[in-house]
Amino acid sequence: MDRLMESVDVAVVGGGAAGCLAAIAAKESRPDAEVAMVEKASVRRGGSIACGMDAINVVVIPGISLVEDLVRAQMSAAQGILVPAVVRAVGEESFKVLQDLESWGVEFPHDEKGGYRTFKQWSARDAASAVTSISMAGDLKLILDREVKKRGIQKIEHAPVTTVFTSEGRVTGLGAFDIRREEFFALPAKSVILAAGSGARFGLPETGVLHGVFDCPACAGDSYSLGYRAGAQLVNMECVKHYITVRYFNGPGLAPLSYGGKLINAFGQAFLERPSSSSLELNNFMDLFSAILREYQEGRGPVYIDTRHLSREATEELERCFFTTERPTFKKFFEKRKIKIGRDLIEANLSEPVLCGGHGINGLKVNGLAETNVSGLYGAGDAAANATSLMGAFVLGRIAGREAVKYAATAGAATPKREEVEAERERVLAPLRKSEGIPPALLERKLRTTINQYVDNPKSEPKLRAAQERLACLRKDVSFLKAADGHEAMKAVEVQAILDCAEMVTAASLERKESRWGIYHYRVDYPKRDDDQWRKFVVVQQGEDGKPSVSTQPVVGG
Amino acid sequence: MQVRVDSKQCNGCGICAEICPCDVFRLEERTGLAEARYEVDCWYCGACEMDCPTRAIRVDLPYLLS
Repeated sequence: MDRLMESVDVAVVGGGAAGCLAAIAAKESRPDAEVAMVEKASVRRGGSIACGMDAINVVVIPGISLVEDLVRAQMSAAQGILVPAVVRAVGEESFKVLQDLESWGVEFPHDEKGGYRTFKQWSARDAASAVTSISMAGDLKLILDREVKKRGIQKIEHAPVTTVFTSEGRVTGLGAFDIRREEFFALPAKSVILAAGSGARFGLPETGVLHGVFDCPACAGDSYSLGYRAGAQLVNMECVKHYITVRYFNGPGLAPLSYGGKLINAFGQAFLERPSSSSLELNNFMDLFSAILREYQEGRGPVYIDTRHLSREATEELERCFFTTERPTFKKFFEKRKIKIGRDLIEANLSEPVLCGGHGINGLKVNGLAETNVSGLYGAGDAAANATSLMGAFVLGRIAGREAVKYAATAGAATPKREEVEAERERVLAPLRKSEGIPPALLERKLRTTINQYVDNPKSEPKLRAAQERLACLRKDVSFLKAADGHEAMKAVEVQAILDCAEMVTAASLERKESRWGIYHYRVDYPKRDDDQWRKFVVVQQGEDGKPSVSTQPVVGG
Repeated sequence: MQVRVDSKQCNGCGICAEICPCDVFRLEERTGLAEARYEVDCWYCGACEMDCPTRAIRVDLPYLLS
């Protein structure tokens, strides 16, 4: 039977960094408002930063850095295709967030005079960029969970959100699935904040392990799919990201470079200084990633991170960063392979293709108030195109929380349409009723292999058309999905989200008839960057026929 | 076994099943103890190791990448 929950003012989808800050901000702005967090795992450890994070990559601290410099740096890194007002909003509120986090018990390093001790990331080392980063310590998720609890925010856990209900262009609530009870339920909500993370399970990693991905695999592109199905606009979906990683473990490979590590190829040659291939126009990160790809493609791999010249202090600091936060099992990887930082070379590669609004630039198109184009629907964190990583998640979360609760105060009662609730319930529960069919993991493997082979770079019109044909076949297979239990029923919904993402990326990639962002969008049939024609957004939205409809929009402001 | 629960140490508190970001754990119906029922979905983040009050859980890396 359907469960219909009590109506809330604000429903936050996802209990990660953005979701927690959103719920806290909503409750603080209006303590009498009903605020609920709906999370597929738990608020305590859910999301990409389950075991904490070693640093905040973007922060503007008075006397150290300037908001305008941050905006300029991020706009340049995004090669002009980002909403400047979003970056500005993050910059303007970042110091306030840092102070709040500190008051909650997150630790930031200070110098002798009591000021903050910041550093510059590898990408920001070339003088011009003023982006400052700061180290961080403390069990971040436990701290955030405690702050959520303190404020009486309702937590609905082990409940992946499967849809956002809308009526006449505004949000009316959401549908979710209780994994443990194997029940579908509707939660009427006047406003919804999408903060369900990135599309980590997009391409397949070279190990073939479905969950062996760079970013947290619980983030399966739910945010993008939920927004898309609710009528929201998404941008930069054609910008498919790859990370530099410690190979096979798929852990962050950029950190050693920030500490002074160097990249060399199998012949011991430093290769970053070599001029870029003429067909790829690149800058900062993209130079680095393209160079790694080239070494492998031209037979000079494996590529290694060389830390042998680093001081003992740098080595120890790197070990602390790698082994105590994010995923402490990184240590076991180094032990098993008998690699010692500072003594041995560390094999590096690019990650599988990933979608991400925080580290990348794709996702829900939001303005400086975290609003999407759908009334009552907000986006924050890796769900929204922002390019300001964890700080972007914190700040956009706060803004979304404040704005959503303000919107809810004047919005009329929200009631999801009965027939829509029924239809969604059918979609979610159908795989549980099958006695035979395709297990979600099998369809997922086929889909993600297709993404690697047809959707990812290098791209061309014929290849992307072939991708569309393959994806259409997989779309038909959705009706054969079979789930043995609640856990698998969640995965059946997730694989549909990945499929939505693949269709969006393919459509957007076809539309952008130029190459941009290095290996993130490289069209062999349009190999040059064309600022005259294409310094604008490619916008994807679900069309009447259920397929992606593509248009372009100018970048406003700067 | 990639995710191991020591049945002698486990007290059946269910914290692992509560907190795992990838929904790997359940309490086994018969014994009431934790099991890594969906081990294949582990991201080896180590949150369960950190939060287990009796240190009964050990997370290793998937064979394919270790």
